[in-house]
Amino acid sequence: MDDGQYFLFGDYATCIISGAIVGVFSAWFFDPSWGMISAMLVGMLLGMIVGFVFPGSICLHYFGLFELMVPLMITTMLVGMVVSMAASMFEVNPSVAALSGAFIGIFSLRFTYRLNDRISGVVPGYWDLNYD
Amino acid sequence: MIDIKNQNKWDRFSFGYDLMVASGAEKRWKPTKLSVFSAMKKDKKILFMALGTGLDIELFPPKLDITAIDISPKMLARAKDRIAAYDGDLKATIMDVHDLKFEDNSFDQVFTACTFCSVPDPVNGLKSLKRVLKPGGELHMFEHMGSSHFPMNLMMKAMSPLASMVGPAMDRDTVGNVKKSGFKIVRVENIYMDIVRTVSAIAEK
Repeated sequence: MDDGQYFLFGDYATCIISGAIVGVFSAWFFDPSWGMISAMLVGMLLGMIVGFVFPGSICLHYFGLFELMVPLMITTMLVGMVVSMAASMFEVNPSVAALSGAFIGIFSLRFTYRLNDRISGVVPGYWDLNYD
Repeated sequence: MIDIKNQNKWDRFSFGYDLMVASGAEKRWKPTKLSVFSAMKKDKKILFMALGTGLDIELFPPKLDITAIDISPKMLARAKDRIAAYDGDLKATIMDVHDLKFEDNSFDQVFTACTFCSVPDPVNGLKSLKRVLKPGGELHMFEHMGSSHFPMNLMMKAMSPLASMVGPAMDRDTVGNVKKSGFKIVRVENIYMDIVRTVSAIAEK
């Protein structure tokens, strides 16, 4: 596996697994006794903590730092928010929560890839042709 | 004078430093770092700031005259074997960037890699680097910094207070700090979004 494939695999595996784990955790932790807003806020925070402790910390070691941290933060925050809100209204099936988390992970990663494609490269205004 | 609080922080961090950053991040950033360090020239006097455990040494071109500094004695102790293995003249010494013990106009080039996220007073640190650079001397940086894009900007700001207790700040405006310290910026390249960037600047005096 070349480096490009290795990092692509790492990015997708991290976001999908983290999303699924945070989804299942949120579905288990929250129930209809929670208010929707409080569940959403607590879910966001807990989602980020759970996602970063495992598998985030392990994946960050093997696959990169900011390139992984940014989609991981977005994934865990969104999954925590969405699943906890749903769980505060009705009982959420853990496999549905895991699947939703995985899809949000893929969406978050694709979002960061597209944003990175748009803004990476030499920054206009800081390029002196006489230099080099 | 050495900032003891900052020195202690990095001494403590030295124990797990290689384990934490070595594998994924270093592998991912290697091509960019190689490109930045390829600007190191044989006939130039080079200062490398914050050598740490010496992870970057293997990426330096050979046969160069490099002076490296770091605030942490424990980091440099871990770098000992890597320094000895370098095929060139590499001297490492304990020094705080806020209080450089070098004469004015001593160096032709200064290189930094993930350093100014951790310097407590980045503008004064950069001013010190400018002082020791010769007129027209080059500053080459590989740094991570805060983002100007939503939602990354909010996330980096939220993480920064906690992250800076154990390691680097996440929301620094390093390009702005280079400008504030009086360098002329000649090139900024976004490596990952606008979070990981390379910056090249000239010390105009």
